[in-house]
Amino acid sequence: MLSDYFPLLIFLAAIFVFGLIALFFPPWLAGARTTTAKALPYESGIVPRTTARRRFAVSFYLTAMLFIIFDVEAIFIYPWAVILKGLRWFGIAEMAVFVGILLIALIYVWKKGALEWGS
Amino acid sequence: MSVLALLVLLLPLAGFLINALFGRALARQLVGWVGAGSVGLAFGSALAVLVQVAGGQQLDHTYFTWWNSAGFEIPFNLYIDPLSTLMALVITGVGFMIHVYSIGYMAGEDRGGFSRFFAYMNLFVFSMLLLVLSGNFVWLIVGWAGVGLSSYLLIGFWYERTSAVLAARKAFVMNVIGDVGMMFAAFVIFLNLKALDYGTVLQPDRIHQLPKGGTVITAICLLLLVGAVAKSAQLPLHTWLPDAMEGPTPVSALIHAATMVTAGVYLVARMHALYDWAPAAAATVAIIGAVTALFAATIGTAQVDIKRILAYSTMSQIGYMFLAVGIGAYTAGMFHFMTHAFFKALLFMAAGNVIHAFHEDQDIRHMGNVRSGLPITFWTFLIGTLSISGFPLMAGFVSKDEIIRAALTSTGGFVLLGVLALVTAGLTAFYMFRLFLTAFGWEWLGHDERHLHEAPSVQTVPIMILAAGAVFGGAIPVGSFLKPVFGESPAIGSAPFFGVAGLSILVAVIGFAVAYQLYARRPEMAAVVRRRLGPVHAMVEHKYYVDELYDLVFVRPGFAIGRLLRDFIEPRVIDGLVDGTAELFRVEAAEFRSLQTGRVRNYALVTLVGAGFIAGYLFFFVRPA
Amino acid sequence: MIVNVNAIGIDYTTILPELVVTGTAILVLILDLFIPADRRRILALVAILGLLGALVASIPLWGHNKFAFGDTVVGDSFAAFFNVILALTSILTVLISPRFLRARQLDYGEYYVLILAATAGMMLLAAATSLMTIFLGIELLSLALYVLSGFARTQLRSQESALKYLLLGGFATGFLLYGMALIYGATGATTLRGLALVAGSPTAGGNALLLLGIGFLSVGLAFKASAAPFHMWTPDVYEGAPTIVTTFMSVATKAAAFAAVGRVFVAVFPALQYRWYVPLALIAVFSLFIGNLVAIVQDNLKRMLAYSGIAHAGFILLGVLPGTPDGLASTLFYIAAYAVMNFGAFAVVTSVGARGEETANINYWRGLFYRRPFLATTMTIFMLSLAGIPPTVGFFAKLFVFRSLVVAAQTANSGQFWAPLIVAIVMTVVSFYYYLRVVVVMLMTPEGEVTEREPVGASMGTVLAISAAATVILGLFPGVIFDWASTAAGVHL
Repeated sequence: MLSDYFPLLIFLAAIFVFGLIALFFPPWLAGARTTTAKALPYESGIVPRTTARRRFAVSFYLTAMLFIIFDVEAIFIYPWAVILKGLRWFGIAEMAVFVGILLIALIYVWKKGALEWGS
Repeated sequence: MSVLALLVLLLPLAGFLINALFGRALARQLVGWVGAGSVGLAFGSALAVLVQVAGGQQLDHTYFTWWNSAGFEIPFNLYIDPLSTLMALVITGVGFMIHVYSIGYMAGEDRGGFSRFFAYMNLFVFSMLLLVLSGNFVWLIVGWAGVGLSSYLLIGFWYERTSAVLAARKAFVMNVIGDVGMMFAAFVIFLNLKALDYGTVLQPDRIHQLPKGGTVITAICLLLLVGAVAKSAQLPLHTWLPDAMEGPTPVSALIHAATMVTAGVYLVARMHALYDWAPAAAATVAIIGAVTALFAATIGTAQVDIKRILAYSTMSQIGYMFLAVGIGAYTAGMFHFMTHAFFKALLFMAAGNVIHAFHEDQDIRHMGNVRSGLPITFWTFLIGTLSISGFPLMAGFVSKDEIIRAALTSTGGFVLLGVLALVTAGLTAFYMFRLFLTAFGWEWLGHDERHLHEAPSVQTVPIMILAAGAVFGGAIPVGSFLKPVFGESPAIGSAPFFGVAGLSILVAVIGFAVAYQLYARRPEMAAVVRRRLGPVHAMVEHKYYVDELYDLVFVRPGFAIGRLLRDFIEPRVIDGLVDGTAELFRVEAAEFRSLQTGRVRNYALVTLVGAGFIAGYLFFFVRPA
Repeated sequence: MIVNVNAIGIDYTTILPELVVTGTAILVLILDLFIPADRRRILALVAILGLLGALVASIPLWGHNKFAFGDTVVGDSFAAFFNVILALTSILTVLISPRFLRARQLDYGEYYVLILAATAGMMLLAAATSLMTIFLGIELLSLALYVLSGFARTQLRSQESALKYLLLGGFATGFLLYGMALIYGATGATTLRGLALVAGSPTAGGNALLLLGIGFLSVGLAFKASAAPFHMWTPDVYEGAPTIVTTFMSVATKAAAFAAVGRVFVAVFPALQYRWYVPLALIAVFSLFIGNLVAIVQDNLKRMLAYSGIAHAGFILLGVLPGTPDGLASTLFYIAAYAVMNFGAFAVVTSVGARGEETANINYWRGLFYRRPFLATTMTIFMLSLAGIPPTVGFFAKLFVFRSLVVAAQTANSGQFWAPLIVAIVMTVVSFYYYLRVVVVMLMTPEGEVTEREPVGASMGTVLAISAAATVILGLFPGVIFDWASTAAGVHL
């Protein structure tokens, strides 16, 4: 039974070997010559003027997080919608509870001021 | 009845809890009445139990299962039969009298001491009731240890006195020897009989599976006997009892005369089914009893401390009881236990009144003029003395006579023990009248000008009630009451009855006459006799040097070994080992701790390695089957 | 297409305790928005009422074996046993919280919401009979606890502890999920009922994927139970988190994790005991070693108790090793005992010292008997119990676990149970050192003048008195709880 996975092992080994080749073969073939320009993040773009590690206002993260949470939860509604006819009132009731809890969360977020911007 | 029985047990416990937790905050009177009242109510419940037991009921009721694990089950059950009912009645009845008496006797204590005293006393009554009512060995041992503890606490009640603390310690050590014996007995019983509850263990069918007189049954009985001997101050574990008189006098009356010290007698009687199957062990009980009776009586003749004389007389009387239960006369033993509780509690409490009157002086040679000052105490003490000396038709006479008769009419070498008992009876009359005549008696002829005051009625009324018991207690039909437990006692013709009775009256009269001659009529003769007896007298006065012997054989070598261990073994060997081990653990611990770097990546690595090991084990070591 | 909803067995009564707790959490969340800040005690009250409701709702589950929701949860004695422990722990936690939180300016309503959410997750874990619901329970309790660990937002240590817990917890969850995936791959089942069928077949012992899955599953659960070598987060998190959270976490999380361990290993995979015995025994032995040895050198009481918790995880795991209901009963008893005594010990730690200053250092405890006799007395009881000295409940907990190993060794007639047993006994002796050290330190005369004389407070006093009394009373009468544990341990699938 374990032998069923032998092709997988070969596959893994192949990946590993290919990675090594891709990493070390070209420099060996072409030789490495480092210049300042090559070391830049964007070799062919605009010259950066400040560090990329800037602080963003926390509201960005907050909004993004809230968006993702509600977004992901909205996904549940799709499969529900597909079989809603079969579920009948039971399905309606269950979704009402689900959305109701989300609504409470929204009220909470709102009331706590997480949706205020820049005040 | 199961509720009533539980009530008997729990009332003193409630009293203990109230006095222990809130005693300091309560008024003195309340403390006293809670202490005495709880025991009194327990007595009332015990009486209600008696009514039902007398009607032929018995009870072995399991209230809850304390422990049940893999077939090892310990229930909490109470075992109510005539024997335990009798014990409970005496404990609570006499206990109630003594508690009431204590309200007066301990009035001099400050509030903390007063409530502490009653809390301890109630704790004792609770433990003692647990001991006698318990239906299995575990709770018996719990009660057994509980009375040891409360006895220890009460002997050392005046903990500022060095002598009291030393006496308490001695009592505790001696009793622990007995406790260990009990525990081992329980182990052996469980190993061989696979149970610890009386209902199973004491079944004759089950016991008779063991060979009669075999090693196992004899070992069980002898181990139990170790416990009984220690608790009842019999030879050779008797030395703590006289010292225990350091406790307050009500304690001596309740614990070291009426109830706790008779626990050994109860134990043998309760286990009679075992002892009947181990004749050698039973004979040992009888021999220890008879020898102790005589031994203690002789010591009693030469003491001058009133409480110590009573203590030796207690040992001696319990010796009678041991003799009785050893030769199979269980009913007689329990009968004597009851009458002894009456007259000995009475004697102690009366002695307490006298000691108070003489400002805590306990030397009988300093006393006198008691009759005019403390008439009630005087007359009740006389009644007690007559009862213990075997004055005809007093309670003590009836019960003691039954024991002597049983011994003299029994077969084999026990007749010799009967003779010893008879001699002891004479000695008892002698030393008791020596005490009475010296301390209470004769000086009323020579005018004594001391003004003594009788104790308050809270102290005298209980004594008078007990005096009634000491006189008429012999009429209580204990024999027929206990018949369901021990069966019919062997019938004895009337000729030997009167013959033995006559003999014992005769020795009692001789004892009295000698005491009267030496201490009342011609006191100068006593000194002559003392001189003549010389070394014998010295030996008796020094209690046969048993304390000194134990000191030499056990205590000194013990200290020597202790010093050796302390000075050599401990610092070099033990400390070295312990320190070395500790050091090893510390080093190991420090190494493990160094893993705790506080860095998440290291933690994750450890987790990964651990998971890797598990995966590796499961993947490589566990090949497909 | 009509979906037959009834076929999956919808039965809300089986998860009523979880529903009540979740509902209470939502209620508290809403209430918090509308009540003024100085009346947040009401939130604690509502939370306690909800938990009491859950407690009551758990009792009808006793003695039943009701599977519901497509065999993903069950209402049985086992779940009820844990629901009661968890609800009581939470109630006690909430009782002592308001004072603690106010003293540290942490009095936010979200605290109660998170405690309730964690409790709901733990209850779900105890009732879970599917890999899915096990995961759901673990995540629900973990997420709430991550936040709670960092609840003292202004304190760096608290933040650090939360972050560490989150990162390492995520790491361990990865193992857990990977193990579940492997098990599903090997058996095609996610419900424990389905798994038990496969695991009972004779070929299961040779199924490497299944075994590997079980191995990873045990890693994930051992992490939550803080058993070595997956314990590394424990001391740091326990030390950094607000002490009241540590109190709750140390007791409840361990209980919930062992609920899952017990159900999975004893009910589902008893037939594979000969396979998982060595890994689990190693985890137990390792926990005993690490926990007890490192606890010796700790001078911070919170860290000391953290290592002691690791050691106790080892003791608790011992009862699982035989893979029998008898052994599981001793584990359940141990969990109940541990809940009482460890909660008490941590509760004392929260109330020593004044106004939130650092007090867990053992030097501060010198002479506590003279300053605060009540705290010192209760702490002594808890220390004696943790060390396993009769007549406290801790003694019987150890005794029952040891006994179950001896019984297992005799019935299986195999010597394999002796090694962990001997380690456990030796380590019990070692543990005396650090437990009794606390008692000794409390008896020593304090260095210098310490005038701290804070009143304990009615709620804390009550909680400590209850815990201490329970520690002693359950030690005097262990039979009752052990009977319950034995009933609860008879899990059926």
